[in-house]
Amino acid sequence: MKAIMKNSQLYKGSLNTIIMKLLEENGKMYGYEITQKVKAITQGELNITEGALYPALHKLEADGFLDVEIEKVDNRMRKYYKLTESGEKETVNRLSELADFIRNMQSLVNPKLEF
Amino acid sequence: MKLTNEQIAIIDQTLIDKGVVYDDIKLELIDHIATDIEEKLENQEFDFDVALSKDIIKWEKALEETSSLWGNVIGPRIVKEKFSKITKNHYKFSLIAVVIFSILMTTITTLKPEEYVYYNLHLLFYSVYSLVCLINIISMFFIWKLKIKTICGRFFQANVGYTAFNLYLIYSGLNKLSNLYRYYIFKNIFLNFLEWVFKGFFFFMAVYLVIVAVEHFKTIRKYKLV
Repeated sequence: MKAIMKNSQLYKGSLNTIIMKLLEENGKMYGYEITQKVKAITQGELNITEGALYPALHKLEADGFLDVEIEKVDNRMRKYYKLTESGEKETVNRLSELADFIRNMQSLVNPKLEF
Repeated sequence: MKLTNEQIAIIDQTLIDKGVVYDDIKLELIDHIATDIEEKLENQEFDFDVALSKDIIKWEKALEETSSLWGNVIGPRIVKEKFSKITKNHYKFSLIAVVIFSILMTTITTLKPEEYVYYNLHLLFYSVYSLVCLINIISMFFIWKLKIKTICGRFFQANVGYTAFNLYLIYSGLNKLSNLYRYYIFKNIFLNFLEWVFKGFFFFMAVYLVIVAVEHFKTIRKYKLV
């Protein structure tokens, strides 16, 4: 059984980038959908907790990187998040930063490997 | 398996019992929990009551009761975090606005130390101040009448009491308007600056409340809460 790395500090710093990347690929998503998508992509290895997801979404929304849409689904309202124009630009920056981070970490932990 | 209206109402009440009384936050938590439970019922893992109690445990950290030192708001962490953000923005906005405003007013009155400038500047200031307070009072009435709870609405209600003090400041300022210049000419530039800081602090607090009230009404419309 694979471990759920929900508390790993290594992932915490990348949570916003993960959310923005998913929204870039999928257009608009709601909270539950984001958690399930991350679980599916990582085959259950990464589990975003509710306590971490919503503060991150609310912060990105307050910073102007996300916009929201409310739709009635069945007998309740659903809040969808999507990237704003500045959110799209920020996603490109953050992904590039993350790629640099991964490359540098790879060089540090395994200096023999070359990319 | 889709949840019934009664089951959605039970989730709603459970969240209210946990302190999530604000509709703008509650709305997405209800949907998240309901979707999760529907999936569990689909897989016939549990019945509704068991699924709900198991689901609420996952929200333990977000729903943990905390208190905010700044705004005296006691409630779940997810509420406090949003409330703290508005409070921090308030102080950031007020600090920047008061400094710019005070420097500008002190500069004008120093460069043009004439009675008519001083008089008209104050008259304009107190007129705008009165208008802002009037908007706050009208907003307070509509927020109370609509009875829809949002986190911005909560911030507004927690701070709208200052309007009484603002009205007192306007009243006493307008009363002394014709004598203000006489006091001003005996003051040095620093005391003049401090006087504008004091007036500006309460004025921009009232201005920020207007921004928060607009945000409250925008949330109601956007979230279709009416």
